[in-house]
Amino acid sequence: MRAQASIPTVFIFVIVVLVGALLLWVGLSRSKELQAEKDKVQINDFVNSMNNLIRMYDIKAPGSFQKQVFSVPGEYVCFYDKEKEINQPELGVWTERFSDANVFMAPFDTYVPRHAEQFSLNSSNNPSCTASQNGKISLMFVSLGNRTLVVPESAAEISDCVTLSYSGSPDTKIDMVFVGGYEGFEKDVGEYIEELRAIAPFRENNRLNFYRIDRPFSCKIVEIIECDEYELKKLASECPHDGIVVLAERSKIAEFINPVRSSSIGGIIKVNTADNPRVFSHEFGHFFGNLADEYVDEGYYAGFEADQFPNCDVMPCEKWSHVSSGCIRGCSLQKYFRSSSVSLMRDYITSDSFGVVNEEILKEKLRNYR
Amino acid sequence: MALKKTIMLLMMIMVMQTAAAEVFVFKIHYKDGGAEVVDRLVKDGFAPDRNIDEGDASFEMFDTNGNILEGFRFALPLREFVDFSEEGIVKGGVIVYTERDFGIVVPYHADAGGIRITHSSEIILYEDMREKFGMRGMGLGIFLGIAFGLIAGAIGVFLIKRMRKN
Repeated sequence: MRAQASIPTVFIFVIVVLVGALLLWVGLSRSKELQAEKDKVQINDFVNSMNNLIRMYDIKAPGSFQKQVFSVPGEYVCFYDKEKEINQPELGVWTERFSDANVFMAPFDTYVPRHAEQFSLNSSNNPSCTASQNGKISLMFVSLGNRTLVVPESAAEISDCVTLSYSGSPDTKIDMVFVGGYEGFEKDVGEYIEELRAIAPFRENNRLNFYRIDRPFSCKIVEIIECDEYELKKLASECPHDGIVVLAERSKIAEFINPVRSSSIGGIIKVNTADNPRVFSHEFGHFFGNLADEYVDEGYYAGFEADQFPNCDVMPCEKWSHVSSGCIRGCSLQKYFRSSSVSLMRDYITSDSFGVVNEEILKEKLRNYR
Repeated sequence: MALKKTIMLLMMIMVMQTAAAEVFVFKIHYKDGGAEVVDRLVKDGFAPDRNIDEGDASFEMFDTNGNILEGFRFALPLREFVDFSEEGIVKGGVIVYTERDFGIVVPYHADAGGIRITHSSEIILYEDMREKFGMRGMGLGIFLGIAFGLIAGAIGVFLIKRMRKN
């Protein structure tokens, strides 16, 4: 009788173990896939940033230079000057296999080597390799008049400012610096950047540079996020910055008990990380486009006037009459009108678009950058 | 080849001497239409390029002769958009401040002598030009101390020479 009862028990146990193992396997595979995707984005950003810097320094005055710290995956990065003889045998097999590549990230069998614009190395070693320090490397770009010299620097040269995406010279781009520096900060920053870059008009217009400062910086969290702005500006000035993004780490549980507001004020965006990730894009709309909220919350808009904002108007919505769009009641206050029924400025949970009129407003601002 | 590398290195060092960017960081206290600089420092760093020159206020920095070194418009940070989602609904509003501390980062000028912040046409802050605050890392006390030391040293040398003569 006991033996009969134990057969289904064992069977159920085996099933549970198998299902558990399957779930674990699926979870680990997914986690690996996500990590691989993140690494791919990071490598793309790194190589694209390098290319932009090399193109810039190919034509700059000889001797001019710039140091830049990059975020990279892997243990170390090797740079191969294709116009010189290779003298580091361990990389020879990889340079033969990937004949087009000149940037290699170790472990070489994990990361696909990449091709960057042609550069020169001043090192007698070719390739010249540099170890990453907490996922960061420092490179110096020196103009030789018609060619760029890339000089990998020692770990001691790694500054606080990490370049995540360099699309061009800071004086021609919108430079956004992220601060927060908590555990998991790097991952959160990557996600917010991806979120914004997936949305028009930023998707089509690569006029943003992104930087990260890993030194811890925290703000007081009450109903809103309160930061010491003097200390914040001191820290942010380590990087080029037209705008500062403070990430305030919050758990979902703490958020459920006490919801905290993300906000935008005077070139500073403060993001509650427990809110929907698109809240960053919404705040960016306030910061960059001077866009008002398109939802209605009558109790909170003392002194709000639509004429101060390009996306709210009175009937018949003459501000955007040149664009074929709507004139819908409700834009911060019930008495004002907006252009689209749903947009990121109205509801960042359900919408991933700024809407036609807001895109035009943002594009107009982007014209100040190249 | 060695000569080329040496020239290159020298050029790099020369450039390094001039490439270090410095900035002023000002801490400004705003209250009810008035403002004052309550703290400031000079450090290595970057200032915003301010390609979009708009806002309700303007910032000007002068040299000790009253010439403008820097000038730009900016929005006084007195209006904060706040947003949150609760049960899938986005809510929020605008907080309007009448008193607030904020920071401004401006390119460094060694001969800076004063700043003026104006709101619309009304001057809300003016710091006169008597103090040459562009001197980096050298407070007035240290400056006076060094000057006093040099004068005292010169008097000492003069007295010793005179005693030897006698």
